[in-house]
Amino acid sequence: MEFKTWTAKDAITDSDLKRIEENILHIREEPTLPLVLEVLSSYPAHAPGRMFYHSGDKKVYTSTGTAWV
Amino acid sequence: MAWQQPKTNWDTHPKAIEPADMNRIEGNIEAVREQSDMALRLETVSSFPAHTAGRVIYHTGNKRAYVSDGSQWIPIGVEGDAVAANVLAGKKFSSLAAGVGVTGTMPNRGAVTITPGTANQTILQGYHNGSGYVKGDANLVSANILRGKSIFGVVGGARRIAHGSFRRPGESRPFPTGEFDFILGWRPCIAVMEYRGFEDAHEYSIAWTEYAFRETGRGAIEIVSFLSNGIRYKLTSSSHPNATIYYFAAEEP
Repeated sequence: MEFKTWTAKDAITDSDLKRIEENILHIREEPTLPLVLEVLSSYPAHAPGRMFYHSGDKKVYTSTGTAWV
Repeated sequence: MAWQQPKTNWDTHPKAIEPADMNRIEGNIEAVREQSDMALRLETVSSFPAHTAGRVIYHTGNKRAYVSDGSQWIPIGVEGDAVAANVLAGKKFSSLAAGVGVTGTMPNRGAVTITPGTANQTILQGYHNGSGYVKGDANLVSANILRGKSIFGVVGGARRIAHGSFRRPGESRPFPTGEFDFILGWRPCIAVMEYRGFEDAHEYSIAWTEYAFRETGRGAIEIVSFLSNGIRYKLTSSSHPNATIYYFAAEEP
């Protein structure tokens, strides 16, 4: 992924827009950037595949849609 | 906000950026975190990075995912409180208590055979494969155990016998005469007592309750009766020093 630090005089180019859209697409699969889970102290609502870090029992949980595993 | 397909073939000349484009971009930025049909890949590292609570990584060296609690890296998916002593020696395991890829130390005892004895035997700590056993013996039955005893909970039913000798009561002349009790601890049904003095004379008494039989030879000793716990006998000689009384008795049925 590439990122640009914008300045006020910069015009938006096609390549900028392309990069931004691609970054959005690839951000989930980027292995070089830190990924921090949602940190909670109680169980949130279920959604299949939802992950969070439980700060109370220091575990990562994944929702099956109805249960946290 | 629903995910929208990104546009990657931008050409703003002559087409301008439309509001729908910007809305899509903004919306996708918000939606991408919760998109359930897109792959999600952890940060991949070969050494542990700085801590942030909830930060997740994949460690290529350890081949394991970790989450940071802010101060330590906790392996994801590892559960349990087992320690090395709880796991068979040589076997690898992981647990929150022991860590990842720890080798067990529990000795493998295999099949242990224990032969009961008179003292408790320690069963060595470790893994037993289920084929071990404590030996049994078909002879461990009541009829083979003396009354008054029990072995591993089997109460003895075998009649007791006693034989031996003791020195007659008294230390000097005139030695005491009369009736004395010889304690066995159980009621006999048959008994023989022999009185043997310094003159080498044999004097005896035999009693057998089953046949109401009692016989006395030469009279120095006489079985008077059977007690619930022994034999009552009578001595008539007061002059024989160092006399020895020999006896044999069998318990009643």
